[in-house]
Amino acid sequence: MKKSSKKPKPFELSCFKPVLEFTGDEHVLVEGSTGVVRYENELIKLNTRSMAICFYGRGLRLTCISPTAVIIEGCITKTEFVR
Amino acid sequence: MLLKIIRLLRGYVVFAVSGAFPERLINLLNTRGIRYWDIVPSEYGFSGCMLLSDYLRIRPTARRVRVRLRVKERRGLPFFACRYRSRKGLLIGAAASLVILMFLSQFVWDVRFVGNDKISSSQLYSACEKCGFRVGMFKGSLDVIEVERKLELMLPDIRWLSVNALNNVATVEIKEREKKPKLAERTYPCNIKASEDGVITNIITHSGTCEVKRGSAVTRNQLLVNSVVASGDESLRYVHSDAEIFADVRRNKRIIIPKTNNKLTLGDKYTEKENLKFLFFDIPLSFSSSLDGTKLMTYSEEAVVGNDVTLPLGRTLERTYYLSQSRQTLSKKQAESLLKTRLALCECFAFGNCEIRQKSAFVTETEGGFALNADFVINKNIAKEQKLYIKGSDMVQ
Repeated sequence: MKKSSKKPKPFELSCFKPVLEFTGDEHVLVEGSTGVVRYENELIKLNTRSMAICFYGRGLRLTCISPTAVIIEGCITKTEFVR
Repeated sequence: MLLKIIRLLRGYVVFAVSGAFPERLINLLNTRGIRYWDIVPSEYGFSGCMLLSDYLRIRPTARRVRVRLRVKERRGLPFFACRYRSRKGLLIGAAASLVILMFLSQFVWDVRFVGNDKISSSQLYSACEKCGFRVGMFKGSLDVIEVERKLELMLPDIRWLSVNALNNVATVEIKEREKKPKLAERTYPCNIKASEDGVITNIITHSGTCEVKRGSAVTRNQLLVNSVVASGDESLRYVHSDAEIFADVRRNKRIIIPKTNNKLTLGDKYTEKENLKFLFFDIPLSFSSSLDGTKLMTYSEEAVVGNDVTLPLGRTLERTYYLSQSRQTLSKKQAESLLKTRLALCECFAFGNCEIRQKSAFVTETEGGFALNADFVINKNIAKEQKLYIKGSDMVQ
């Protein structure tokens, strides 16, 4: 059987795709965000280059915001990717 | 913590954002690199905190994105200073206190001694004063090495000392010299004789041949312990006799006091001289003229102590009492009381290292006064060394 010579691209290096790092259901780091679309207690919607990400939950808060990364804290119940 | 202090020093506001799309402001702030924190969503938008300088910059931006900014709270030094800008006295007071603090920190407020056991602190302080090192002196003029050298010369009982005047409280660390124990010279032969008459009660012989027994009466200069000791081979040798011979000894004390004597009485009249002490200054607070006559002076000093540090601020009070002299005739009861007090003092000082076994005292009235006759039987060590001089084979006692 012939082995494919094309190596898979590392996950982190895939361009324009956001990187999400969850710590339980209370903390999430989103790298590659381009802006905040909605900011409410129950919903935080972030824009990225390839999609929008919605975080649903209770008592959601943006604890740290930089031009490319966001940290969300609170009780996250659902995450939705909107293309 | 440091971040909090910096924020308070620079001043910050707690603001609320309301409008159609308040999130646009967050994105704009991010792209412009403006820092904000504690972003909490609310019903109409969100609220957060921002430095005062940044808040003034973002107001046109907020207008552009059609959101309304409202200051909820103002915190930090710029707002505090603004609130009290009309009260110039506060600023002057703060500046004056800073200057006073800087000025006073240039002086020695207190001198402490550490490690002194046999030498008293007052003795050490008076020696320090003689060297020019005292409370209230300017720290810049203190030559620590010179003071240490002078103190070591003045106080021979000090082995090592160090003066630390880094703070306002100067510390003098001391290591005292341990005195060499006096070694008994036991190279020469000697006898032990009785120093006074008495009855032997206890014998402790360390070396020599004891010539008396417990219960025997001895007279002064009687031989108690002989230095001649017989060896095992029937030869004789001379030793340094060492013994403690306790004996009951009789003593008599007679104390006489005159019937009439001059008595000094403390009157109600006194004068006070009060001084305010600040650093090395003594500022008189009251003036009083001194009167002639016999006086009794009392001196008290009070210093302000804060946080276990004696501050260079205090008050000294010098009170002078005038004593009136009167002639007093003693009754027998008064005389007895006075004589008993004197006898107690006599016992304390004269028989301090002896045990008093018996005591009988009676007061008699004499021609010019009162006399107390006291008979004691005391128990003391009556051993007394007497050296032997040996010339060749002859022994001279």
